[in-house]
Amino acid sequence: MGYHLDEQDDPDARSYDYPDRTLLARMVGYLLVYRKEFLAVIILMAANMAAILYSPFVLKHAIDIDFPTGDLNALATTALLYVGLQIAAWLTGYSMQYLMTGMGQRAIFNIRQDLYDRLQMMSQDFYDRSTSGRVISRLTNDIDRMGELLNGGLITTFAQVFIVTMIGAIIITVDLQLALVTLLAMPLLLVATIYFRGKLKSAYRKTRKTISIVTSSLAESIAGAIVTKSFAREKTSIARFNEVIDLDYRANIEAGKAQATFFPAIRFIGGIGIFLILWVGGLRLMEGTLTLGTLVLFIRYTNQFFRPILIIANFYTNVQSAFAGAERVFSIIDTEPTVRDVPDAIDLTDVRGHIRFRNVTFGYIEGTDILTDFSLEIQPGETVAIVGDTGAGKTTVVNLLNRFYDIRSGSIEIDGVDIRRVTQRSLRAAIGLVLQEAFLFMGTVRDNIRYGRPDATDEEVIRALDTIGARRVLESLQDGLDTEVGERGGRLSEGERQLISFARALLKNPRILVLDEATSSVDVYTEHAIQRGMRMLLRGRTAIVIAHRLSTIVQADRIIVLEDGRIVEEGTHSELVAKRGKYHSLYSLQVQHALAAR
Amino acid sequence: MGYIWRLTQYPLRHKRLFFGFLVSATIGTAFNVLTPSVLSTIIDSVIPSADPALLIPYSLLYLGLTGLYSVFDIIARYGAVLSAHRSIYELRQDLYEALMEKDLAFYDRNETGQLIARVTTDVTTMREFLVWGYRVIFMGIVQLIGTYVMMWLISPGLTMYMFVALPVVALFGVAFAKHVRPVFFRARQMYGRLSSVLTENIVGIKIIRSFTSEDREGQRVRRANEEYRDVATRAFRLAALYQPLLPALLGVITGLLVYVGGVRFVEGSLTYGEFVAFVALIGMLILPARFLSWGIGMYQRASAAAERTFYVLDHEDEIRDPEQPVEISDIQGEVEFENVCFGYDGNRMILDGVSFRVLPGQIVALVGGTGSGKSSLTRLIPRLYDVDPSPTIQYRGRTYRLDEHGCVEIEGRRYYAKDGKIEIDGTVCPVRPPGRVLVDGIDVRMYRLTDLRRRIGIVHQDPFLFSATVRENIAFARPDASQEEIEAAARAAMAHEFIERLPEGYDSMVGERGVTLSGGQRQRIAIARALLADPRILILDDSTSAVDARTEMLIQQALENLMRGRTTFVITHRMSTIRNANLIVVMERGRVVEIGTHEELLAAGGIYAGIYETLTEMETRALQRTSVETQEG
Repeated sequence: MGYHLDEQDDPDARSYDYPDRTLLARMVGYLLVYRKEFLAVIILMAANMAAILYSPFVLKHAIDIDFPTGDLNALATTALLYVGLQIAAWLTGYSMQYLMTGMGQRAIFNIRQDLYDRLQMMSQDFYDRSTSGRVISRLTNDIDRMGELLNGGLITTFAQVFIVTMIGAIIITVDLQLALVTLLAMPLLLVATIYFRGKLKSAYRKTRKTISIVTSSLAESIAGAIVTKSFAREKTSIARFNEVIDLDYRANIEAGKAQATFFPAIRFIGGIGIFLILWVGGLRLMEGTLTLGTLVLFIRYTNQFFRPILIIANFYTNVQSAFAGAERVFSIIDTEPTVRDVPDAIDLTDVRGHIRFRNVTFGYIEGTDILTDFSLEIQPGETVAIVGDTGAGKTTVVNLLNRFYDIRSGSIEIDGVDIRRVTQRSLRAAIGLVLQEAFLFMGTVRDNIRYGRPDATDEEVIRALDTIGARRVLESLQDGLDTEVGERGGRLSEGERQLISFARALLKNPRILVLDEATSSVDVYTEHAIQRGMRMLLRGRTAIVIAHRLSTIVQADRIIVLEDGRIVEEGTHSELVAKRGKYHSLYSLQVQHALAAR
Repeated sequence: MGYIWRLTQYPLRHKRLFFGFLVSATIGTAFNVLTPSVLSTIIDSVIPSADPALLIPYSLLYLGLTGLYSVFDIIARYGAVLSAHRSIYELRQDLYEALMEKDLAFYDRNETGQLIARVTTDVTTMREFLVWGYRVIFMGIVQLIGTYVMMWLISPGLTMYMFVALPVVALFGVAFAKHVRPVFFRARQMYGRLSSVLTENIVGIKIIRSFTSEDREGQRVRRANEEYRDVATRAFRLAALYQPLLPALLGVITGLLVYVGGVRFVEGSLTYGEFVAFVALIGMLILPARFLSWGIGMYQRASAAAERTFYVLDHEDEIRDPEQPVEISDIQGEVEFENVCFGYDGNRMILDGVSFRVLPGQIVALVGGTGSGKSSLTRLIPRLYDVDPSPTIQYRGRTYRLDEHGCVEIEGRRYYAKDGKIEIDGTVCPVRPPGRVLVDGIDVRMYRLTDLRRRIGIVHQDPFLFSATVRENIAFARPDASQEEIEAAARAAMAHEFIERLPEGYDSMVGERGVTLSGGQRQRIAIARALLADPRILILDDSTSAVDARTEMLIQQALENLMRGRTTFVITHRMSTIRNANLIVVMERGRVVEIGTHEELLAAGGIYAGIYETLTEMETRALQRTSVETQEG
């Protein structure tokens, strides 16, 4: 059984819709909101670096001047100065980080908030184009990637570049010849770092893939445990899993090799630097053209060289991944929602529930129309069942009525008002939507029922449950109405979720109800309760039902048969059966079958 | 220590590798702590000698020591990687085998997500410890000791002063682990909350819009986002306080050394070289402190992870092969339930004294609402669960278990069994022996598990298919089946036609990365899978209603082919199937309330008659109208 590695979701993939400069400028823009802090950070950083960079000179002073003169008072001053510098370095470093963290975290917060706000405004077409997993990944992983830079990475790295430059400048000023010798190791350091970075990156990318294969293989085994057991196939399954973990083992060993060599190699190159200082500096010391203090100074500076170089190298990979994340995040923030309220939009109030589609043409993709010249009028209080094959356009009708999309031509009116002239909010407040898959939010059953009206009293909740006949089922849950439903209602059964979604819609009490009947189903008893609940829910409202069950369809005031975005038949159940057309052929099979069973 | 010790047994299986890398790390560290003394020799002996010829070998000695340190360090790191990954490979094997052997009760008690985390995330945490933990803790200690030994060798007097540094290093390691890590842990928790709130908002966007609750949800996101921001800020700030603290403290100690060392230099009891070596050695103390705090953190996390993971290995299965299994070549398919009681979590009885017998080849329809126990009953036959092993009594309509002392506790009071009965407030309750499930007259617990399960097929309405080809899925029970056999099974399951139409026919991948199949198609593949396995006893869980009529008819046909000649337990609402059953068993709250044929039960006018009405009520009404209209039209 083959495993393919998915390249599609590579987190480091770039589209290059934005130049690097723009991305950097916008990210820094989020930090620059806090100008005063930013300035303070710069000043603190300068002080911090001064303390760090000056310390070796104090040591040199002690060695070259205080030691030989033997002036203990001067020595005490020098020692105190050294101690003072260390404490200063610590305090400035801490204050700088303190401010930077505050700025960085607020910047991350703001970016996440901006992205979320934009996502909330985004029209439904956006969510159709992208899986929710990807959108969530923008809000979490991609922003975390940017966070690596904003939470100090950016500023720290510039500080490191500055330190490296300063050290270079200082040692050149102190002793040009020795400085040039020391810097010989520099290019080696850079080459090695870049080489290992590249190697590690590809090795780790591979391990990320193998571990995801391990996880998915495991998830499947656990989900399919009952099948494996009932066919007594545990041995094969174990053999398969061994193959998978072997893949992961190999990939990790590969990465481990590079990881094991990287740091020691870099450190060895530093050792070469010190070797050169000892050799050349030692000769100069013998000649008397160099002091011991200067030699120690060079050794100290060489040691301080490493970490910056490693951080800078790290920064490069971080920047790449932050840019990749930033690009995706900003591209969403910059997307204008396709469905917007017109400037002088009015609120839709006192809805009677008259619906009219006038010559509506619409397609999700340019060039392929789902609905063509579609017209439909629904009277207040009427229940219309829409039937038809998958792809006939049933869900589209519902999407358009909710204005999840804007139509290409024609108009949709509620009580004679074009829905594009009213606010989206008031429109949706007037329409109750019950989806095929009942989505619940974390919280209790009661919270979910009250979702549309958090101020509803317990009596109202009970009344709603009684009306749709769901009280007994839901009250017999473990903690009754206070039962936690779990993530997406996962702790409840499909049928229980559906009943809750009915109660939720009922409590909202909309004039217009749109119901996408569930295709997946439940045991007969709950089914019975659901059918009853649905009838009660529809009573007295204008309703559009995307129907799958004969029993639902039969009860509708009017049935509409859709085929390729057109109404091909229309009428009551009896009328349509008598017609012996599309409707008849759709359902005669089911009817005959059911009759045969009786 | 317990769990880490057990974890360590894995690298200890390859002792040479494990101790090899630790020894290599020790040797490397030893070379490292030797380098300052080369500095001191160069400064004190080579430079004053003014002999350039001496300088090169000493400088090279320094380079050589650094080189050897690197080489041994690389060997140690690589050895640690090998040892850790090999251990993890073996641990994963053990875990997976353990998971495969677990009975279903185990899977009911543990959420899938958590089980997966135990074999992935938790194992990764342990691997991190095996790769880094031992090496780092070991090197930290060796370097700490080595550094002090070197100091002592250079200047015992000065070393005394430097012992000040020791508690600093130790305290830092502990304080960091104690203060900073919990805050980061909390930050991770808050992050989890934030991301689940965000997930809900994205997945539930349509509902949010439809209920115009954008503002409320927006507030919720903002609050979660703020909480995360605040705790993350606190965590990073705390880290900013601690992280530069260590170099600062060592810097302060260096300052102390400048004074004390200077005084000794003036006294003549310390040389330049010794002083420089001391400065270098103090710098080396940073590594043990970092390594120890890091190591402690890893140890804590690995220990928690190991506890969760070893739980999987330690969990004792209740369902195991008998010590002396009955040898069988085939079974007839007679099934009998004898006073069967069963509960998943001990207190609530899902099945309560079920008894009935089914002859080979009979079809039994199990009827009842959710929670009536019909699914649980069928699962006892292939021993996916075992019958409750304790004797029971009935008292005031409720069933109570007797513990191993023959004692029963009712409303806080304990009663003991005597002569096969228990007297409670004057009522004498006879003790019922523990229940049994018999296949061909033999207790199912007497068979070897594989012998038993191979002869029992289960087809679920929403079946689980593996991410594999259609062929592999059908041939799941018999991978050696020929193409003809597979196709024959698919034909009988009414699946051949649609499989042929798939882009790659029988080689099409199903599951997450493959073609999407409808529920009906998946069900028919599962039927083919069961057909090929050719079980004597069949369990059909078909309790929910299917979607469209065409598929329904195909499935009905497929199921009829499958049931032919097999003892079948069917959980269904299809009237046609129920009516044709040889035996209808009506269950309610774990008890058999009615049993008989369709006609008998209808005539009795009990619960079944009521259910029959419910089942047909809606459809009948619709169909009566329809049938009249059809005839008229």
